[in-house]
Amino acid sequence: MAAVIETKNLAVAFGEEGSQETIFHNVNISIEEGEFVTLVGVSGAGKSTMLRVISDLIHPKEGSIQVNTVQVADRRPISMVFQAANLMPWRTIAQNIQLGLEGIEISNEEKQKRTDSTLSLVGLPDVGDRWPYQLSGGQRQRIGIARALAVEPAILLMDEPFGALDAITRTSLQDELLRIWSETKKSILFVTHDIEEAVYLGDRVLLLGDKPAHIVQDFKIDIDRDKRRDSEAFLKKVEEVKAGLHGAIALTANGNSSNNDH
Amino acid sequence: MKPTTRYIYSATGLVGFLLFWEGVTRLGVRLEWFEPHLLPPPSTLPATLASELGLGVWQEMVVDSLRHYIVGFVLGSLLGVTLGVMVALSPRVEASQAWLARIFRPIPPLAWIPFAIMWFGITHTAAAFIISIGIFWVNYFSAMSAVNSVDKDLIEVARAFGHRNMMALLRKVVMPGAAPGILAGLRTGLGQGWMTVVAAELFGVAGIGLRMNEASGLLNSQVVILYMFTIALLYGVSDYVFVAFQNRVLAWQR
Repeated sequence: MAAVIETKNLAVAFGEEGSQETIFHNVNISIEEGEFVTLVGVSGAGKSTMLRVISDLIHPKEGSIQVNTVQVADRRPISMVFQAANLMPWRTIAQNIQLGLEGIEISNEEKQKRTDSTLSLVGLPDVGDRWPYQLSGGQRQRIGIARALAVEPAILLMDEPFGALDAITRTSLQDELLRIWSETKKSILFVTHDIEEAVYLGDRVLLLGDKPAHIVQDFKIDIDRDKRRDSEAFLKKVEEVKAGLHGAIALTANGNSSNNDH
Repeated sequence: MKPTTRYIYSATGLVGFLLFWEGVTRLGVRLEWFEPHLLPPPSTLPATLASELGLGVWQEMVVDSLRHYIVGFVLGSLLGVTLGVMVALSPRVEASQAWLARIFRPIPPLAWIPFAIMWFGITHTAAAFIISIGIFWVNYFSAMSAVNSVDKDLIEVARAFGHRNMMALLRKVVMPGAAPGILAGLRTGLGQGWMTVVAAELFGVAGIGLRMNEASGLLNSQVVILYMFTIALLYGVSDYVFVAFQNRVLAWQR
């Protein structure tokens, strides 16, 4: 199967020439069409930065990103769901969803159609005329998802989208997201620091070690999706990823000291 | 507090003030620093207004002052907001104006009167120029800080959804995001402008200020007070209209 998106030896560094700090290096991620990939790592490891590089908000220092999709005038190949919903408070919900549709070749009827269909898809068909402040945090995040889906992307990037929500809302949105994913067949790259979330959602879990970050392990999650919450296989997988993450941190701690030596 | 309760309190405050004033002047309280005949009771105001209206002076002065005010307000606001936004957007422009603003900002509008006369003569333009100065600075700084406080995350969102160039970002994020701050600045300027109108007309351009100055020279305090209330009325109306406009534009705010 063809990968929808492939990064090759991606590296990012911040700071002035000469005193640059490498955030991550040698990152190779490949996502198949329709695949749900989660990326876990400790806070500050560079997970968010990676999504920003893939969505071309930050330029990489090295490497390349290849998006293998047919260019269609009324779509955008990549779109993103942010940690805070980040809706524009001065736009109605419908206008927020249409943000990415402005500036691409799309008719007004099609714009309206996509607004309505994404609103239904996220389970909030009647809120188009409201202002963001009239919605709850969970509802706002659903609108963030609708906004990202409206551009019909080949790949959806999600930056800890449920991190700021309470546990109950988070659980229900995780299931919502899986339903939306199975209905739309989108390829998703989902960043989180919550290992259970990563194992629950992903077909694969990529483990990011830090300083400078790179993918240290790639877990395949072959547990039946109906049996993921609380099943023994699920808990075992979570433990396995956790152990991997601890190992990665220990590794980088050693890596740091050896870096300091020279 | 319920709106009606609030309304009652506001009206009581005003009526109480007028009654106190009327009482003090009627009782003929006389103190070393207080001569009642120099402070006419408010009950004389309607007659004064009728006389000024009869002479056609009131209408003429109000129209002249409105001309100065409106031109000064539009000019000062437009320049202040435009330059304030530019400064906030560009570090180079910001650096270029840093010292200049520190030099010119503290100069009171009235200090410009000699230059206004030299450049524009004793004209409506000169009065409008004086008024625009105070309004300019208010808007300059409020627009600057309004743009600086626009949520950077929203700019990133707009960029992520394909709006990459400066004009698109200005239109879609910066200006709407800065709108509450800019509108607050415009409203402050609205009041600031009326405060300068009187002073801007002191040097001989016809208007409310000139009429007040003439009357005060003749110790004709009724007329002075009449025009004080006239300014209050004009300010009240313009502020009311502005707030209605502001609430409409900012309907998205809680």
